[in-house]
Amino acid sequence: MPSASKKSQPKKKAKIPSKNLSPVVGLVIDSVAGKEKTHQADKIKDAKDARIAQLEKDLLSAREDMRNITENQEAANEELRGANEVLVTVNQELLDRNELYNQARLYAEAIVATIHEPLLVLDKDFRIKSANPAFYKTFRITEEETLGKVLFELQNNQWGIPGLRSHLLKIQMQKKRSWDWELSHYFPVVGIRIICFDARPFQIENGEDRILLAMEDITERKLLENRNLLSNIVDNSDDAIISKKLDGTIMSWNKSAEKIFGYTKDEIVGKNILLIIPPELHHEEVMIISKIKKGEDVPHFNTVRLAKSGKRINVSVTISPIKDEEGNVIGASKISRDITDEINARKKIEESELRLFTLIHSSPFAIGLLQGKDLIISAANEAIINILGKGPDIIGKPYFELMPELADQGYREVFTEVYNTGKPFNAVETAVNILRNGKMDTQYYNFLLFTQRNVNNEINGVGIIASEVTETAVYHQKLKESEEQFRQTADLLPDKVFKADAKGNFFYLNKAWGKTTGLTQDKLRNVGWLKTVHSDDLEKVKKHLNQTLETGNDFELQFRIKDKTGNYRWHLCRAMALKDDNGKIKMWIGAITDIQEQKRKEEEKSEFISIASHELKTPLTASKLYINLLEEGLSREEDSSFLLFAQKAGNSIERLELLIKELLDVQKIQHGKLDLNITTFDFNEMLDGAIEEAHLSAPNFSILKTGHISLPFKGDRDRLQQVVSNLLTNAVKYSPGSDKVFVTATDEQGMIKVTVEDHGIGIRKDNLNKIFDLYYREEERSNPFQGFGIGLSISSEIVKRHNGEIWVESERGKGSTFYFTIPI
Amino acid sequence: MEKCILIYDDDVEILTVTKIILEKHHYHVETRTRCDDIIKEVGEIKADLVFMDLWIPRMGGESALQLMKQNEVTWHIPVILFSANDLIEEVCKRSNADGYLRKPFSINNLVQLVEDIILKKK
Repeated sequence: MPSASKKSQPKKKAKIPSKNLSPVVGLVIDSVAGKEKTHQADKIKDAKDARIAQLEKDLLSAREDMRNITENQEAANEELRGANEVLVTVNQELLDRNELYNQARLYAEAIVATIHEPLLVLDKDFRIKSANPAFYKTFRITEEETLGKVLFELQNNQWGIPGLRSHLLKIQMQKKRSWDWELSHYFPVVGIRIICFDARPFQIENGEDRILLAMEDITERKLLENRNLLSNIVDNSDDAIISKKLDGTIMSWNKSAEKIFGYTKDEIVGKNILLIIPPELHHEEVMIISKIKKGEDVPHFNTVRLAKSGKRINVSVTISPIKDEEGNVIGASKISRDITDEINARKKIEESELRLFTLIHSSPFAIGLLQGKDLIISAANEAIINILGKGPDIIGKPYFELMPELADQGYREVFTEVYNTGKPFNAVETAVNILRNGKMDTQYYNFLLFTQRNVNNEINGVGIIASEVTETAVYHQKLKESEEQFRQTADLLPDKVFKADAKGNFFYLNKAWGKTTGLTQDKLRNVGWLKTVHSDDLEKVKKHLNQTLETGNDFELQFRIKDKTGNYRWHLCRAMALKDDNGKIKMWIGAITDIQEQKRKEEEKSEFISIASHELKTPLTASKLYINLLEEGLSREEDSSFLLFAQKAGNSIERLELLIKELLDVQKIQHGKLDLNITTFDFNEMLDGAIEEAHLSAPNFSILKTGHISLPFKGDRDRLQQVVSNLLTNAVKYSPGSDKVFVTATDEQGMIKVTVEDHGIGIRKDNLNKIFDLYYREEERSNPFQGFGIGLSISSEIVKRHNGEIWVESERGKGSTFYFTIPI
Repeated sequence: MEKCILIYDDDVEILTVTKIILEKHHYHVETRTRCDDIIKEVGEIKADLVFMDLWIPRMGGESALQLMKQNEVTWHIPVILFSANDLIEEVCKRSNADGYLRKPFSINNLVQLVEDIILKKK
């Protein structure tokens, strides 16, 4: 074609088709291929996509035809150039063909004109090249106002639809079709319209770009959809939605209304609304209707309605007037919500509040609630009122105005910190000064400050829970002081003090340990201290330790400990178990005393006694023997008075011998050195020996023995004879008006029992349990020859050393009976 | 022939009175206040019985007794320990003495013990 246009001759003829094609060239071409498809045009509005596709197809085939035609034209031109003579013929042919085109164009125009959807063809500047009657009709615009105008400026810029230009530009650039682009726009002439656009770009034969813009007005369809949506909302609402006429006739009734009131839609539509209003509340309806008639809303209020079952339902109701197109009130819509659950929930909240109130006011803890940043007292129980000491009327007062003394102690800052940060504040055994009756009073409290929050979780107050713990705090303080004092005291002591757990592990040692052993606390802890014990004593210590830990008895033992110079020194260890109420060992407290010096002195003393006894006994022995010799010699003399003197000297020597023996025994008892010489012997024989001996020294007394011990006995024969002799000597000595002493001996249930009974002066009752004490002597018995009164004390010790018991029964003036028992 | 008894004690009064008593009972009695030459003395005197005090200078009765008992010439001669010491019975047992006499004692105690030992020896 461009080559053809350069030729001069066929210019005129070549112009024909291009002139005819404008301005609805697409549509005309469309019609060429659309000849056979006229019957489809009627159905286009129902099948828009198919139609547009068809149009596109038609366009393409029209273009194809166009090319073919052009080729034919070129061929014709060649012929013209080649053979001038056939020009007329060909020209005629072309005219015929042009006629054909015109017919096709008119046909296509007719089709476009009959299409119901508005169609526009735009050029590259979006000027309207053509429009169909549906466009004019839909948008109430004339052809003159439309053709050649820019789309967006139509009808005083009514088409300046936001986004439309950019949408079309995009289509132009991308050369792609855009489907179903929906938008809603207000056209002053036709009102709000919802339009579905379909735009496709194409080129006409001279290469110019065009856009075919098809529009479908879907406003009605959308409104219908919305109506359906609204009715869905009403149907699916949880609230009962009812409409009624002004006379109360029910017009509509949704599903929730059926559910809440129990009436179906069919049952109730057409009935009066009073059906669901309890009789005593019918006046409510009168007021509602009068308000509705004035066109006013009735804001929501809570009331009671009747269900079909007769059940009364708590409801929240909102009523609005319904108006007709002219604005006249013709009825009312009513939304009811079943608030039975809400009311129940509120009741529960009220109950819970009551419980909280009771809890606060019956609590032994002091509880107070402070409201707002100003910490105004909003609740306070009796306990906190008592603590604060400002009388009962404290509600509503700002806390720190009421309690300036607390502000002075810095508590305002503490409360503010809690309020601002939300972090609770916990105080334990804290001293707080409170002014009571004009006097500053210091007491100790455990207290907790915590934030209170509203439903939005915002802090709106501070709560106090407090309990007075002065007694405990003072106790703890004293305990702490006492513990400190204990440590200080313990550190001052020269003794090694320790505390150990129930298993005997040392957990506390005083400073003396380090001073003695030179070892660190760590080395001594637990059982480390055992390493300082002399190897000869270690077994003994361990054995005693295990026994004590098991039984919980007091620990007392002497052993040697190595000091820091490497020398062993004797120590006495004493420990005592602290037990709980069930007798379970909690811990041990003990002390280890250096007794090296004491031990040395004891040894010296013991040596001294030994020497003294030797030194005393030696002259005694000589005296005794000389007196024996004197007695022998004098017994042969005629004058017997000298023999009597010699005998008296002999008796005195005997008594002196006994006294020395007793003194030494006492020394031994005091030093724990009264050693028993255990043998198996005939107890009866021993008893008889003692009786015979006593009888010899007191021949005027008859000592009558009854009973017999048949079993062989294990014990210290000499010492037990000493006991019996002592009892017999006493019996004789304290029976001045009598001449009889009774002895019984029995063995029963693994126990021997010996009694010595006299009919002498007896012992005063209050002295009965003192007579076995060392150095005790009954006053009335005192006379220069009655010894130190230590005989019974020695006897008691001897019996005890045999695991036996000794006691006395006596009556003043009637005599005494001494008993002792010893297990066999 | 009179039996010869040798008595060791550091106390002269004990020696004197014991000698009187035993001579009255027809024994020949020699006394010493020290026991250092015990083996020699026992041999020279040909003692039939020895009384030995435990606390006697310088070596002490127990050591002297041991010397005697270890000597092949003197080991058979009976020895009686006598002392005021409470442990005398124990010492007697451990040193193989033939008897003991606890001070103070009576004439009867002394004479009876000597007779027992001499008779046993026979």
